[in-house]
Amino acid sequence: MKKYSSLLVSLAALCLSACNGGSSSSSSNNTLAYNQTPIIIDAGVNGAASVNRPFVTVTLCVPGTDTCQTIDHVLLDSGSDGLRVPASILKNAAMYPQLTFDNQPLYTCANYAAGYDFGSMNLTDVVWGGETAKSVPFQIIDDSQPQVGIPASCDATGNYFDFVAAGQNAIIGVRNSVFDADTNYTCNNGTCSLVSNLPESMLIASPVIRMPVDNNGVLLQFPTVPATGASSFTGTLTFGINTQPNNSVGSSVNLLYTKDSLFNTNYNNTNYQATFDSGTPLIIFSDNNLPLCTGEFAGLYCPASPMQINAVFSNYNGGNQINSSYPLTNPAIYLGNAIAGNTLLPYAGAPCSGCESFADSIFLWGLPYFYGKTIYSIFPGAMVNGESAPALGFSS
Amino acid sequence: MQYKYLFGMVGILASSFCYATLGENPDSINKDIQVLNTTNNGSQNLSSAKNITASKLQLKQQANYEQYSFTTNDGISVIQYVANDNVFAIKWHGSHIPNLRQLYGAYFPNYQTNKSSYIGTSQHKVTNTILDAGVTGITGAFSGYALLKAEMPANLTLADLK
Repeated sequence: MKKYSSLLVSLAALCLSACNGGSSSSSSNNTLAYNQTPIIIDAGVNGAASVNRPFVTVTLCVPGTDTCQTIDHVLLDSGSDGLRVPASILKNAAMYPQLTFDNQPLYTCANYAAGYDFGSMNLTDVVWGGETAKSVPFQIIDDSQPQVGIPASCDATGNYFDFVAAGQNAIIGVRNSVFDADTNYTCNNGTCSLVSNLPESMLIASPVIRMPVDNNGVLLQFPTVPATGASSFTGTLTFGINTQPNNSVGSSVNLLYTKDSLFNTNYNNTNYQATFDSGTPLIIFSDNNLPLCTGEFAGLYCPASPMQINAVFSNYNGGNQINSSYPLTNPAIYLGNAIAGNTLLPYAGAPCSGCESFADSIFLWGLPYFYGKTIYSIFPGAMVNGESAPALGFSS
Repeated sequence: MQYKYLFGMVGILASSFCYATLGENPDSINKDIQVLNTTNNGSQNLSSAKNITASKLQLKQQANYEQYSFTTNDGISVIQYVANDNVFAIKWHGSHIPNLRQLYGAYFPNYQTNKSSYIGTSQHKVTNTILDAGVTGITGAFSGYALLKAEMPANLTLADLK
């Protein structure tokens, strides 16, 4: 895996020198509506991002003021909730008011598989595309090194997840379950106590739900990946579900009703908990019969010849079966045809790091699955085709 | 190990605090149950430990190892694999990442300080001469394991541990 990691970094580094030409970039459309914003896939901050990382640009303003900061390379993650910005990235961090509970300042521990991030819970106005959400709870990640004052129960879940080292300035989660599973604390003089009864209005959630309109979901739309790859690649994030002509859910959309953002994927006669996760750069699943790559792609699946991942999707409760087929190839074959500075690696999969755990485990349809599709993240409360969300959807 | 003996052991150990976990003897599993249940995501307060009931812990005898499984009050499923009176592997699954410091015990620092090669927000993998461990998941659904390479019974692989 180390070799694969260094490959990803070197791919990204190549992009630093190759990305300026522009002739190899690919864009989905030219004119965006006010409820839209571009999603850019490139090499990230300092060229440190791996392949298949989707970034957006977000403007934060101290609530009610014109003290604002535009932050690029914010990872758009459909597998987590809310906006989180490292303190080292956020200017004027002290000006963003900190949330309190029982007159004690609030802190939160966000857990990703890649690690935890601890920091304060604050309020910001968020300008995203042409939309503004006011007084949005968000996290200012304490990324000072060494960090002090992290509650033992947060530190007991793993290691500190360093966003900036991963090529991203911040993260913005648009998971369709909306309200996070963070562990929240009040802390006073370095002593932290768990808080489990915060009102929803104080929880860190997708800023989209705090927009005045177009607040019931998002669409992530990407063009088909060019056969020769691209050094940068642009998709579109659209706010709202069935609120504008550009976010309607037509009859051709395949809908999957979810619980905790999860639907079922049946693969090789095994059921998995699955989701469409833009924060995952590969298709992550378990198949002990597939050969693994060696050398520079060590850690990825290397099928002997291109194949299809044939799966059956269904609602979280088993209803509504939809067949899905996705190509899987030896990544070396694809990259051999690709241009220098490629930041895309479609049709690539890897084993699930933690899924040895249980037969009924996790299947992540990562960003490659989004290419050439529109993925719908429909929040709780939205009505789609007469049924109540939360749901995920996809259309070609 | 017989069920009867196991139940008795659970009763005795519910009120004792012998530490254990990955790399320790099976008695330590009771401590894991106690800490994970008390902690509601891992707080270190043990004073309000709930009574451990035997039904929480299940034992399955496999050919060359024993398999202890329990589910915490907040829905984390944990399976611990024991051979030669030693927990050599742990698998877990649930809505959040549990208290791995407790489950992985003396090997948690190894897990925490050996950085994974970065493979996205939803995957983490640690492999070195002593430990093999991984986590995969998104907010609301995580799955992970850790095993001690030198302690694995002969002819067993991770995939064999059901």
